[in-house]
Amino acid sequence: MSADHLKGMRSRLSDIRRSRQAATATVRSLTPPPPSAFAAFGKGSWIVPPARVSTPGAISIGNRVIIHEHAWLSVVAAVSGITPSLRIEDGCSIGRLCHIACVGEVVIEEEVLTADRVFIGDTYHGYEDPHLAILDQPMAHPRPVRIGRGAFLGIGAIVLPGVTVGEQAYVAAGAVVTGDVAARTMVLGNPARTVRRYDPERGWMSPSREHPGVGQAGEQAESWSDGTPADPN
Amino acid sequence: MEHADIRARPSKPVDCLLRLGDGTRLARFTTIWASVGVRIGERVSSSDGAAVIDCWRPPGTVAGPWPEPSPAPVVIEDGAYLGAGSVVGPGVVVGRGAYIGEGAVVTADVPAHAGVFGNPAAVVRLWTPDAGWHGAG
Repeated sequence: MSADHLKGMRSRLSDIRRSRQAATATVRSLTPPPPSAFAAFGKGSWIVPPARVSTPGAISIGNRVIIHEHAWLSVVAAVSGITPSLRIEDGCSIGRLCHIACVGEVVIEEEVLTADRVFIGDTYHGYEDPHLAILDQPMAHPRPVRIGRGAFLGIGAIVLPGVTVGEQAYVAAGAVVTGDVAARTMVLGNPARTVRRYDPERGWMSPSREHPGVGQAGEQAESWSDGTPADPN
Repeated sequence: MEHADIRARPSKPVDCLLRLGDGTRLARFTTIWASVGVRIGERVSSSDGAAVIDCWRPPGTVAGPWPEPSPAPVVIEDGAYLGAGSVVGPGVVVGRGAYIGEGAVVTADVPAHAGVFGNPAAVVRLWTPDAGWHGAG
């Protein structure tokens, strides 16, 4: 057996070992921790693998919560003096590919429903130093985020630091929520703005025109785009 | 490709809930929700995380109290392209060869050979047989 032959065999063996290690690491990092690792983990709740969960000890999950595939619950003690905490209350249903970035406090109240690819963050990457890669700069001081009871976040919605989304609010697909959303209002766009508000007597109202919104199925395609400029110019 | 989520759950009886044409390629993390009907033509392509949904809420979830548009069939015509993270919503017809920009949220019909961008999506470029390409793009 020549020296070259031996070298080739060694290199192949090392490749095999490496890919096995990678596979093991992938399974390990994408398998949700057991319920006992969490601060709380209620009855009938599931985090569907694959999911990336950091610091489960700072995460409290209520009863009957389902978090679909590819969630990334990124709860990190990134700012000194602040202990992060993420709470997802009873009956929440979180869509696929959801990313929650929490270094302070994020609360998702009961019965919240989110579609896929929702991002909720209470911090952002600091960028104050123009000479340092943003990667190397500390995370910004967190501002608490709260998603109110029974609210809905549409596909691809983004909720930024400091935002409180009120009870039963409706955040449309692709909305970027930069400020508080009042209870029982509907917001859409980037930045998100209110397009509907619920009036206990008159139902859903369009604030721009103060005419009754549509409460039922039917003419909705038009009313949905009310107040939405079709032309960016 | 991998990690797609295709959820076909009829909300009423239909002949075919989801049809994908010949040679269509949808990239990773694709979302398709078909509750009343999604038809995707031939040679349609997409980038990662594109969504074609005929209802705003995941199929099978309970309707909330919101004045949300009801589910409506979606059609993506032949040769169209869906950019990364774009969303094509209920009731939309995307014309032949249209380009849906990255992250666009499409809530209205897209003409053939149009480029649409933004949230909500607006036509930025358009190709017509007579005039060729024109528009702000």
